[in-house]
Amino acid sequence: MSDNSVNIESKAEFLEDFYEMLSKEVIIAYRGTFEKSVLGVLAQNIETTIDSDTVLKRKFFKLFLELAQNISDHSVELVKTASDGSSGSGLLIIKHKGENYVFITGNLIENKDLESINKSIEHINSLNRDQLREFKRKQIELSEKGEKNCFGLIQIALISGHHLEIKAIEAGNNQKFLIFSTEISKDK
Amino acid sequence: MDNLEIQAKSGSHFKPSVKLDADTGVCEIEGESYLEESSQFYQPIYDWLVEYTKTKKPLLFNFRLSYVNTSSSKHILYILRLLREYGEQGNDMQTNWYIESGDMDTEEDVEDYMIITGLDIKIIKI
Repeated sequence: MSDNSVNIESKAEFLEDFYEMLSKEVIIAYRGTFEKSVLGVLAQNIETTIDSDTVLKRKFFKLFLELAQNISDHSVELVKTASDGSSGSGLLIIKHKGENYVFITGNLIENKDLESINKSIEHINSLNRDQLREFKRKQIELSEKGEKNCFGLIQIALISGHHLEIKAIEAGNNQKFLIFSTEISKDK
Repeated sequence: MDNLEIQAKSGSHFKPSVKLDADTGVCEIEGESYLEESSQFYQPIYDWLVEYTKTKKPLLFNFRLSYVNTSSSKHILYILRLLREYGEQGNDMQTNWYIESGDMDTEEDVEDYMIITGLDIKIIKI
């Protein structure tokens, strides 16, 4: 009986801390697929939660969609969708960080893909805005030809105006859990 | 030739509204384009334009898109190239892109579309 009450106490404490963190810092914390039905609900949440002008709200929303699309297209953890297709599953957290909003995603990738992702991000981070736009135009042309490109990552960098950061954690089965983050300023 | 109209659900962030008027030559595409099946959505628009350009009538294309996802971008480029060719053939053609004042991301996207396609797009800030 006393063991149980200790157990419940610690669960309640955990829940209280978790709830406090969610209330104070976290705008969205979601794990699962990024199907349209889910995105619709999350989008509605953004509309009502983000207290800012429409331009910043739009920037926020574009970044959210690009990141969601990134997970949906590239996560190797595939889940069946309601429409009999499959969609990549992953984690998305959006939180306050002082004068910025921080966007963090996490999803599984194949070990073999890490090197090219690292190279793309390193290159994107080394470019100034004009160079990045020029690089984007070249990548759009590759995308038109159906060739491999990093157009999505460039869009994320351009929208956020901040560096892209990644960290890969060993996940077994020749896979890594890729943590990706960027920020946008609350004052644009 | 029939008009083409696609009505997006109110408040949709995923599918734009489209109105292509064969009588007046005024074409509008408005909203946000986050489409997974972008080919399926844009092909009828492209086909309609190909048919319309055979008439050699004046054409005014107003884009009011505030977000074009990576998958939709290439279809927007196909349309813009078609518009450029129509204008280059000596037809009366004008392309406008309405942008919310302060939306620098969309403005840069439109500038990039101009560089890639060689089409002169009039940016109108609202």
